[in-house]
Amino acid sequence: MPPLGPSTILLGLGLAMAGEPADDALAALVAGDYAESSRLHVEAVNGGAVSGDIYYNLGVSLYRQDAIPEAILAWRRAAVLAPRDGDIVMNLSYARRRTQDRIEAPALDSWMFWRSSFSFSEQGWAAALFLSALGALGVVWRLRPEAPVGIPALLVGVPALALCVSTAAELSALDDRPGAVVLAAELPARSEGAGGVVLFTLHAGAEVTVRERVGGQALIALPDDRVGWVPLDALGLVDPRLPFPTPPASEAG
Amino acid sequence: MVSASLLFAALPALYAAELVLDADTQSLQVGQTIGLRLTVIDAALPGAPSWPTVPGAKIAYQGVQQSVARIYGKTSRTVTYTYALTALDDGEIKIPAMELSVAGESLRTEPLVLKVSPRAATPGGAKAEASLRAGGQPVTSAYVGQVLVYTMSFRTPEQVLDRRFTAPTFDGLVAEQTRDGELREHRTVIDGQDWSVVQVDLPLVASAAGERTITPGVMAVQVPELGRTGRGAARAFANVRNEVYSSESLKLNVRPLPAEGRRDDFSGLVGEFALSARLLSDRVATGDSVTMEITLSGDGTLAGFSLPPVPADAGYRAYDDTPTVEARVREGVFTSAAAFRRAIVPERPGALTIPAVTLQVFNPRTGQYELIQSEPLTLTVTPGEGEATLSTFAADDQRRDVEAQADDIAPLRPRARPDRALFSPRDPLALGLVGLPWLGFFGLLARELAQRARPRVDPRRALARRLQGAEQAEIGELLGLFREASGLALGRPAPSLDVEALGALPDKHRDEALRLYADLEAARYGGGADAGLRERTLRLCRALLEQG
Repeated sequence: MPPLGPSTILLGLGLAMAGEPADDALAALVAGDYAESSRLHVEAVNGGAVSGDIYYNLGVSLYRQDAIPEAILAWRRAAVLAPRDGDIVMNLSYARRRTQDRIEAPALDSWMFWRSSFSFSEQGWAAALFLSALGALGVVWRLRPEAPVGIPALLVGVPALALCVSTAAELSALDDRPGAVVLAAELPARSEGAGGVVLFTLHAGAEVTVRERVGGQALIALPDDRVGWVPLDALGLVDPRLPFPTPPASEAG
Repeated sequence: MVSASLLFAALPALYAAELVLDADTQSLQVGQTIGLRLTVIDAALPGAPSWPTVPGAKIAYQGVQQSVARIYGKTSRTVTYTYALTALDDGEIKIPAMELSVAGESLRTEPLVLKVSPRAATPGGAKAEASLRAGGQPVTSAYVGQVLVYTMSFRTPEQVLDRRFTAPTFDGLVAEQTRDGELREHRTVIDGQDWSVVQVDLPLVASAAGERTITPGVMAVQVPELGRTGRGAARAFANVRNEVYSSESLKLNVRPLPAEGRRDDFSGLVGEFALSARLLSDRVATGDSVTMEITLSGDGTLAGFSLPPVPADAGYRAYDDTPTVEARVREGVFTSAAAFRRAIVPERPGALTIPAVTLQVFNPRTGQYELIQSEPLTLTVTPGEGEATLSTFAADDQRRDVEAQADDIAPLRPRARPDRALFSPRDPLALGLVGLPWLGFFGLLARELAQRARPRVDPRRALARRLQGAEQAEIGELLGLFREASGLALGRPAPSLDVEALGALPDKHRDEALRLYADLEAARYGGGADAGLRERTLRLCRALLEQG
């Protein structure tokens, strides 16, 4: 077992202290101070206090601030962490109605049907538990060769394998081909990085997939497979582990 | 395949999209059905266009066909929508020009006029007749709310193999909701001749006052085309012929219900009705319930009817079940009956008189409003357990449903807490959770492998050491040494050796080994080893050991 290093201890300390800004952010949200609530929520998630509920509340305060693209980004991140939450889906549909580009998200078409119902975190921990149980059965088998561990090993091993594959797929999607939300008011997608011709123009709140990242540019793809290069800093990546972009300071009237 | 007419029609379309409308024939008889085609050349429509109402005709969509033709080197695509047009009245059928917008371009057909002549007398006298009936009798006038039965009767001396009825357009009439129409088919004999009869009965309710015209009903039948092919039993498989017959159109004068004599509590029922009521028990305890059955029957529709409510001061409360309504049509006569079950809950003990249920209905036969009522019923109410003070609250309840004023996103989460278990493959907890059991498993596996790889004692050396100390060995040990040495020489386990196995030893040792084995066995059961036997055994063992 790897030793608990300083980084782990610091992470634990960070998580233990992270509840405070989330509470303040919630208090500001309840009080109707949406700009302050958004700022505190962002501070909380960027400090490591990450959860579906916190991203959800961040989305609510951003939505109240009329920061629709940022609210979509927050709720998309919340949906990654809590995919079975119906409120998130409903709020996303509300926010999407206020965007300009009609982009229909493609359905998740995979034989790993459970991916749409479980977050990567749930799948990862389930995979770890099943793998642990499989290892324990291996120990029992070596200590007591006559023990009937074959069928239990099969019942544990198949889910362990499936969950390992789906967790790897989820993490790979988050790392290599993350979803993204256009945060700029208008974003021309070009054929070659900063140069080239404008292939199409997206607007704030449009949801795309990032296929490549080179320098400060990202190759994005639409669900109909059109691709184009855009500046990376005009996008918000749907990876809840990444820092959240700074929300707009002004509050909508 | 593209017909010649379409090819000619397509000639001007070499440079533009076009709509073309054509029919099988320009003249037809009443009841005859012909094909009507709408062809779209070099354009695409989102679906089959639907036709507006064309007086004197019924148009039904049948299908679509596509084709591609090459005309003067240009590829032209045609899409043909086919419709079945049935003539309903003699005179002219004027199909107006149809205008469609295709890809921003407006396309237009030419109007089409078809001449319809009266139907020629059909051989054998096949005939379709229609009528509107009330109480089994044909009528030409009715009141709003009255139930009429549209009856279409078709008879033919031929055998009907298949039939399809197309209902007319019922202007000012709607379908009765508690009873579907029915189609019956039977054979009868008239003047000594067999007839096939198809009869359709549709119960309808007059819904709007005024002069109404019911368009002809259409009966499409399939009859055998006998005498062309087949003979005897094979005639059953002969060709069939499709025939279309239409009835005449009908006129109906629908009158509004008179205002004179109508009470505020008019039940809305139109027809002749009878009402009866009974109690399932004539004795009940206060607070308990007794069921009252009310039966209402007549020749009007009972769809949606409910009993009048019980007054608040009636001395009892009443709760109605959903009524059971049954209706039927027999020989053009519509009848319906509704059974109501009302739970009566008396509020105080004593004799309770349940007043008669009274309804005002409109009788279309007399053209007047009438009152129908059940008999009053008497109920003996005994004191109940812990007689309750009952209050009527329904009339005093001023509450209203909470109205939604706006639609918004879902509310915030008051218990948002950071997730301390966000998964990462490099998380020490995950690594420990998975690593520890597997570490134990691989540790045990490694230990076993190490045990298997540990070098063993050389059996030859061990045997040589045993031989050195075997100068005084007894017969048992000698036999053991002999087996070990022979086993090593033969490469077999010592316990499995027998005389046959010893025969595989090299020639120079085989005879001595066989003899020695026999002597050792004999000595074992005969009484110990002598010095000669011990010396022979040790010598042979050393020889076998040296041989390797």
